[in-house]
Amino acid sequence: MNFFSNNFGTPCSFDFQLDNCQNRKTIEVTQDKGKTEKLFVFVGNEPVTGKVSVSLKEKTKKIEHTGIKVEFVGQIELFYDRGNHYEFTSLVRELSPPGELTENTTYSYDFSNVEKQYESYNGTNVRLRYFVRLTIGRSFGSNIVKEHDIWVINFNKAPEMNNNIKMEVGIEDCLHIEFEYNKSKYHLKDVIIGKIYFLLVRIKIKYMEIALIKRESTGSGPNVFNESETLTKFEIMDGAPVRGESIPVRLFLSVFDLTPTYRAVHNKFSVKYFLNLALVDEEDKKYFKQQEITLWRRGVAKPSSSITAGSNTKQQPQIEIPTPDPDSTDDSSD
Amino acid sequence: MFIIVLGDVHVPHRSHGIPPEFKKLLVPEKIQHILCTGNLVSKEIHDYFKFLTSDVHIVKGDLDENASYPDTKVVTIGQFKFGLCHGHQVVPWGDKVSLAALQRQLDVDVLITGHTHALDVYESNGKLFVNPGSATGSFSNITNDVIPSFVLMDVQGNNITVYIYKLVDGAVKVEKVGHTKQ
Amino acid sequence: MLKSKPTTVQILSPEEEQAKFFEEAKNNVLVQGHHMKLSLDNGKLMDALKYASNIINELRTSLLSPKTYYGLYLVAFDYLQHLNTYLYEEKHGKKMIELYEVVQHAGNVLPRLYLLITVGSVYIRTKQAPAKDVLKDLIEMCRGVQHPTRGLFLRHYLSEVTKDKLPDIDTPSESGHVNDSIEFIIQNFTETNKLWVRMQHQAPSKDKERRENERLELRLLVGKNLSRLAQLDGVDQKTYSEVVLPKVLEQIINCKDKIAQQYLMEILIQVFPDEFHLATLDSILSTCGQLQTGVDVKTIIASLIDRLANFATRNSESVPQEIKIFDIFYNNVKEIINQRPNMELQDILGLHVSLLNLTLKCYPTNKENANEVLGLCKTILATKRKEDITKATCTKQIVQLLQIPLEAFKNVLTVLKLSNYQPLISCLSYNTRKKVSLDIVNSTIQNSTIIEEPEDVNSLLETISTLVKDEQDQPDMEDIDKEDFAEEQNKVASLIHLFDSEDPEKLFKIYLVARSHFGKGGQHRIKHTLVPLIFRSLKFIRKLKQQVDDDEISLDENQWNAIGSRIFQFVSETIKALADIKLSELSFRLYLQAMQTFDNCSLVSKIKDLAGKALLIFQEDIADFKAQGAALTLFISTLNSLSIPDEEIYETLAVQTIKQASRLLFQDQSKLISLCSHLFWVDHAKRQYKNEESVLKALKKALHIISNDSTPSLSVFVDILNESLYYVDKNTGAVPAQFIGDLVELIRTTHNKEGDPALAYFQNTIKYIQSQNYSGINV
Repeated sequence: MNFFSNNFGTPCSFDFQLDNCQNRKTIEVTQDKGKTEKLFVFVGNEPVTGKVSVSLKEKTKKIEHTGIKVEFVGQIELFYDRGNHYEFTSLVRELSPPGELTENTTYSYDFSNVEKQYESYNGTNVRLRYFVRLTIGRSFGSNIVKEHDIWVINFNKAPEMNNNIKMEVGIEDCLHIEFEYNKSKYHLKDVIIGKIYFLLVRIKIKYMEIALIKRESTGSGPNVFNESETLTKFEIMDGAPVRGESIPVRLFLSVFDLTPTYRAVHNKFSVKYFLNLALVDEEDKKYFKQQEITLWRRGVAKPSSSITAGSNTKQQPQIEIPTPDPDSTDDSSD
Repeated sequence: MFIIVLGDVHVPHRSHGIPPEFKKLLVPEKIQHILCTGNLVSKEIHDYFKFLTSDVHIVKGDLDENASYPDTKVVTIGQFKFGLCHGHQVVPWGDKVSLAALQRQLDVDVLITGHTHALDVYESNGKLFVNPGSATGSFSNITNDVIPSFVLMDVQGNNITVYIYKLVDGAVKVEKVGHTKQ
Repeated sequence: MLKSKPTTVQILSPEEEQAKFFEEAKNNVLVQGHHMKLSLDNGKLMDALKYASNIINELRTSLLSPKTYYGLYLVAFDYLQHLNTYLYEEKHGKKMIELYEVVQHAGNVLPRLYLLITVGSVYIRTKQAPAKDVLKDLIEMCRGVQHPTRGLFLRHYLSEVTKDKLPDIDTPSESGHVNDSIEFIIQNFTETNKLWVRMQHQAPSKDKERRENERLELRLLVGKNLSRLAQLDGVDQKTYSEVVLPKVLEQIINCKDKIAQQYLMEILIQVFPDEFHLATLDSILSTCGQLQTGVDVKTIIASLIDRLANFATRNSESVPQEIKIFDIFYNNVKEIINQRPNMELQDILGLHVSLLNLTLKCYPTNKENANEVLGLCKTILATKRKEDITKATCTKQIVQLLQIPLEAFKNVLTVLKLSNYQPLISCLSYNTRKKVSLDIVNSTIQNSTIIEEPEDVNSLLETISTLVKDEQDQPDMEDIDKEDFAEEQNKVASLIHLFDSEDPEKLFKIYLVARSHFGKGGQHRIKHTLVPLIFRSLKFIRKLKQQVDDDEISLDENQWNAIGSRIFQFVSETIKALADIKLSELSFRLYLQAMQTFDNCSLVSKIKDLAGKALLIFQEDIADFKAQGAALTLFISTLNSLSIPDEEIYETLAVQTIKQASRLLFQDQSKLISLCSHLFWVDHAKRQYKNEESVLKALKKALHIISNDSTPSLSVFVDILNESLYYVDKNTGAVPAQFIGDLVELIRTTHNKEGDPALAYFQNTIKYIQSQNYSGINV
């Protein structure tokens, strides 16, 4: 939002209303300056229809305008490239021809068939927004503009191919492990099940952990910005194993604030997720192996009866889970 | 006051030991005195008596080697004087007339002798004569078919109750004889 | 906590340091625990879980020794129990499946797993999930802790909180089968043990001993698992043999750790019932063979053997016939000894002791087994050096091997039949041989074992030869305690009374055998051992005579005389052996005893011979006057007791007796001569011999002798008076009334001195005379 926004001192106020929102989910989104805003969540190509009311302020007798329009915009904002907003979708509805607005007026709008191929995203260096914008054009003075954001998510189809990840890594004559994650693609409420086999251990391991890392890449070509964020460090082993031990991995993804993996969204940015398996020895030396996993958003959740989440075909229950995660960091090792 | 009277044990000369049936009866706390007619003939038996009570009186049998044993001994217990002699010195052996003379010589109320391996308890001229026989029932040239025996005397004032213990065919038999001092 | 803080830096001892770490950690636990309880009271479960997690965070420490760590674990345990109870009461309104997931979000593995176990145990208890699934998941997830101490306690926690929730035979099948529990426990056992073993390798080798001690302190955490298995009703003998044991043994063998193997084998034997061990003996024993060097296999096997031996004793019926307990043990022990060439000899011997105990408890009458054990031992000892065998620890075991059959069979004859018994004695040192020999003797005496066969006597005396004769390795006589020696020899001598046979021929042979053994004993021993042999021989011939008289045995006179002569020769030669070593008084008395016996047996011809031998000793070897008096008194009374029909022999002896008496001191002479009067007045069932004249003559002679003494003793006078009275009392007519009256008068007038100790004697005699009212005697 521009500091010099013409909201201030505007002669009127606006009230956007969206249809079918009594039971609609909302999402808290942190905007600039830490301000949070509750947005309605739209799934895929759900129609966005509603009304916007324009109320004239008390002193305002009339507003002369060059026309009133409402738009539905999908745009990508790159923070390093402020001002350059890439609108990847935009639909305009004229509400009124040029004239005078003399009384409070309510307009309806209907964007039933707008394609919303990307999900809303609020990242470190990039933001993907969908919003409805009302513009009262003026011939002198700046236009009166008001935007109203919605949040869009897209359910993905379950991946057809979903192989497990299996890999043998090691340092010659020092450490040799084989790790296995049950899938390469996880939905956002999924559980990562895995196992670490120790084939050779000649170092004194203190502990082993899995870090879930999110990497946001913006830009393209030589001007790519990568921003990595460690979402969690999850200790999976305490102490030093011997040859032949296998250590289980079970990581519940539902706890974390995750998005699906985004690849080259409108060629502007990508968001990828990685599992970083790290072994720390008694001298705090770290041995690690990073492996990308693909996240996707699952449409329909089926509650699971399995207590163990042990098999990769079973699915996780969707539960509102407060996250106690009382002791998630032990940063001394970093 | 309990007094055990016994002798002619002859271990190991003529027997391998005091019968266990008797040993069961001979318990340390109950016995105050032991009067032994001799022929033990080993230190082990002497030690065994000492283990039963500290007041042990032994006279010398014809086969005892222990030179400290006297030929005769007089022991006063309560109101009684007991004369103790093995009896091989009495001629003829076990003769009541001769034993009476020994009683007069020792000037005792009760004369205890052994040697014959024949148990005998009798009164004569108001005196009590006791021969406890052989505690092991061992071989004797004087008496045939010896059976193990000993005597227990309970002294109460002027009275003595004599209990006679005999081992007959593996069973202990007890008889009782009373005696009052005149 | 009131301790004032020191201002200077102090170097803490390791103990103080531990105490400090412990206090700090404990305080943290208490604080977090307090918050946890408050949150629970306020229904804030999620907060409570966070505090619970903080509690367990204290258990992530590496600063504490295992012992101190245990203390901290207990404090934390109490709080987790509290949480457990709360969760079960379901006030929180959460489904267990939710909680089961929630706790898994914890970022650190140790708090995560403690909480998971806590919730999991409630999950089972609420029956919201099948026990088997939860158990399976918990045991799998616990792999995340690989730190030995922390892992051991975590797994102990798992074991503790699930112990009453394990599927057993009565559990509905949907919850799980006992096999699930077995698998669960065995897995926990295996993992626990691996962690326990790993502790050993974590410390530098210089701390080995400390580390071993620490490990021993934690051994219960491992052993508990086996107790749990034993507590399952569903673990019956079959399941044990087929499922449980193979897996447990596999782990024991594979862990290749000395301490673990030792402890686990012991606990395995301890916690499972005897019947199970009986059915799986082969597996257990063959495992013993595969244990690491340094494992005290002997103790393990011995404890198993001892248990089964006691079991067999208690339940002799319930030991199945088809299980050959002894054979299995015997073969395995043999095998194990072969496989472990470095096994200490004392341990090898210890195993034999156990084996022997086993067979004698299980098969109390089986001699062959016992002999086999002794034989195996003999074979092994043959390969060992003498100095190893005679080590105190080894000697002790061999002695036990020799004592056990004595105690078990309670019959020395049975023991002597064990062909490997005697050779084992031979390999011992002198003192030990002597001790074992004494045990044999004592056992024979205590059990009053009668030995009837000459061969058995021979075998017994050969077996205890250390006691019977001098041996090359014995100490000098001067170095031997005289009293002990006498006691030992008296014991050996006592044996002779247990040599007995109804068959006279055999019995005499026995005496000959015994004589030939004891004859080699030397002067210190024969003094003890030959005397009983003489008395037994005397008893023997007296009994034989009795049997002949009672017509139980039919012998004519010639035959009888022939037998008599053989025995006479045997006896007199045996007494002579004692006479030869100058045991004069003893042999004198033995000759007198023999005289009485042969007299009794109508073998009169021998009497003169024996009397002659006795008198010869008297004359030549008895020097002391007192002893002479005593000996002669005995000679007189002996003659008096005889039945000698031959007057000539008798009178010769009487004359000789008086002659000897006359050589004594006056006082003794007088007394003896008065006793000699009894030589002339014999009146008993066997003989009547009355010579009044000689009686009186003897009394008068006695009186004459004492009267001529310079200091005549009152006592002797009274003695003579009493001897005289004897003949009056017996109505012999040998002593006239006048003689008594005169004698009394003489004593009264001449010798009745005030204060003489014999005065009472005299007065008693006077009183007696007065009481008898003899005609013609008035005193």
